[in-house]
Amino acid sequence: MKIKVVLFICLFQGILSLSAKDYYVTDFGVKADGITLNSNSIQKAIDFVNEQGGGRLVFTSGNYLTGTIYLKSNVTLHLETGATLLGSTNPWDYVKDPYIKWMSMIFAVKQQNIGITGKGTINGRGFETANNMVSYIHRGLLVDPLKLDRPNETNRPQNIYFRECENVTIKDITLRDPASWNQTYDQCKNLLVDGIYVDSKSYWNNDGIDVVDCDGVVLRNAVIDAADDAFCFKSHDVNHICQNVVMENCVGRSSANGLKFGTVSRGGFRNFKVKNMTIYDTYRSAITFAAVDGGLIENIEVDSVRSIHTGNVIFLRIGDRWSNGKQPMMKDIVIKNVYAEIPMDKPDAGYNYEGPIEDLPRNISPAGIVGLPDHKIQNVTLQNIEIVSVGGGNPYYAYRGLTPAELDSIPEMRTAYPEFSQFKELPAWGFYIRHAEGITFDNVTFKALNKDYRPAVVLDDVQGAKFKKMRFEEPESVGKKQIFPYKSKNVVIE
Amino acid sequence: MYKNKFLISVIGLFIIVSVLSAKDYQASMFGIKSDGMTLNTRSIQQAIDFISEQGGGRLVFYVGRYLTGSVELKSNVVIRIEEGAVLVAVPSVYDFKGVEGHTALIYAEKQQNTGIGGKGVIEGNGDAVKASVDEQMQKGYLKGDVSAYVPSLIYLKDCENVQMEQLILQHAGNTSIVYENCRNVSLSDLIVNNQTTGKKAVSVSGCENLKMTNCYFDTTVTPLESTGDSQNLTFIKCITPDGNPVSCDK
Repeated sequence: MKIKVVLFICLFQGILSLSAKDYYVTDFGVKADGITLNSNSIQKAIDFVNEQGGGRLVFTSGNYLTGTIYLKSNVTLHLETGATLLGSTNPWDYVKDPYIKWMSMIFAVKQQNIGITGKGTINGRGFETANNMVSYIHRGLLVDPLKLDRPNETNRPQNIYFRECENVTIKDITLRDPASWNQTYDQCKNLLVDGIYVDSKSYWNNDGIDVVDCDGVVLRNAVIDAADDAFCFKSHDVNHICQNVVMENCVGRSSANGLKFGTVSRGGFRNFKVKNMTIYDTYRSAITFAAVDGGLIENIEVDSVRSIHTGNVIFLRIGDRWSNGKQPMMKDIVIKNVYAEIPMDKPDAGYNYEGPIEDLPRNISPAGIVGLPDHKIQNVTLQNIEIVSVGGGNPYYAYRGLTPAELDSIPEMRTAYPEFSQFKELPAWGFYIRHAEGITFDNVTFKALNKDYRPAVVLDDVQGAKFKKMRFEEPESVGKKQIFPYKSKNVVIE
Repeated sequence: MYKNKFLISVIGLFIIVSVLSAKDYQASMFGIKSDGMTLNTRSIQQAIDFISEQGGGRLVFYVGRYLTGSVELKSNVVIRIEEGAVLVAVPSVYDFKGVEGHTALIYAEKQQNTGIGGKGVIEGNGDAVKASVDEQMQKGYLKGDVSAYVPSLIYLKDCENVQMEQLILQHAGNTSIVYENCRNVSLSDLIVNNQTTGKKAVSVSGCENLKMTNCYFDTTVTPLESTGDSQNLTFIKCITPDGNPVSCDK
């Protein structure tokens, strides 16, 4: 019901934007020559359209060099085909917003009815900007710890950062090469992101899209290729929650995760419906839900996923990183109609800013549902799933057996950064489930292409698990027990 | 006597040390580009702010054209525009700002111990800037008086101990140099050329202890004006192209 309301509002917004007046940005002395720095002239144009009651500020074909600009209420930046907002490569041309404490090319703070539309492009040219910043830091002009030889992400400009805005429309545009995360919508209400293409792998940490503590989001028809997480939902604020989200028809590629909740997960995530998602060539998990900072994850449905050539398919994790005493929770998760292929090679090999090879030695890691002894993951249903893994776990390379001592030796890693590989070698090749209640597997097929020394599924401290219509295919495995429960109760295998 | 000599040498040493510690910073260090195309406004501002935070010094521009919009001068920072260097005003009205509606390429309010010098040029680009203002007014995006939008080259308000020397200041779209309520300021060896724009060279109001030496004013109008009460204004060897001495007549 809520979702329908959101859709209706978005439609209404669409009609509104069509009827608004058009202004041409070149009328304000803005030059499309790719040389003239237009920040102040574009700002004047935005201010003017805002003062006139609103409309579209149209960028016709050309390259518009700019630093930071602030979008204002009732103004839509419309980038026509061939129009590019070209980010200045000079870090000084960007503003670190004193309220948001991040840098961005396009900011909007507490504005309503705003948008960026059209088939044009926002190109941050972030690699050059970030490197210019590095050289300023070395010269002592800018103070930054330069941790891991890169400036802090809050000191590198994103393409878009909208905060506390209402009725936001991002449609049809291409976003590329930011110097930091790419586009962040933080505590916004009624956000429509439709038909965007994102190429965001010009620098470390570059996400595809970050939706932070937003309420009422439709994200659809997006194609994202990102160095860091592709579709990333976050909760920065303990008093806010990311909720009422529809995501559909999206394609993602990442050197981290495809669809990610977290890592910052203070308030939480509630009421999500994700449909038709393809994730490919992705180094970590197609789906990672992390409740590691005291937030909740509740009522999430993911339907129809193709996860091709990804390091992992599903990783659900409760941790205790920055909880500050708050109780994390994850419950009522349905993931259905999934086909996944887990390869032997590095799935993101050859892409810019490949993910770092970590947590070795380990054989092919299983998908995971891993809670904490005092915070169990509750009520997870996996339905109509097929996971094709390369298998082939070699006990001489890495080994984790099934004795109580070996299973108990797997660390809890309460405060660690959550990744599917964090436990190094795990005792299963298909699925590892620990500290959970109410797990249902219905019509789930596990295929290993090579014989593996481990069983497909290991349960540890699982209270209530039902396995229906399970199929296991593994070479030379006749009679092998593929589901291994440990310290678990009410495990029903039909 | 001996004591006096000692005192003098200590003071002398102190002066030498303080001159030496007025560090020079080359513009390129801040990513400021001399290509005449890159708009350097924010880089120059960053440089001024940085030098000021470091306790002061000189920001030095060598040969090249440095495109910029308005920058704010800060205490203990001296801008040096060396021979062959040109600070060029960007011909775009929205890149200028100033103090209380008075825009200028270089402006300052309540700053001390600062200055602008060198044998280089400050190019006001007055006609182009004014054309930009006219166009925006015609389209209705700007309202009011044209001269409110066309910047001076230098506007100082409530500043103290400011030296301006040796520069060529040309084609200002508004009065080239405007000093309001400033104290202990000197202007020397300046060439001001506003032939094409027809604007005044210097306007002074409410200033105290202002000394102008060896300046050459090539303008189509009376080059100097003084409004409000100023005290102790001195003019030595300041002339127009026909050799006539000029001074501020109220």
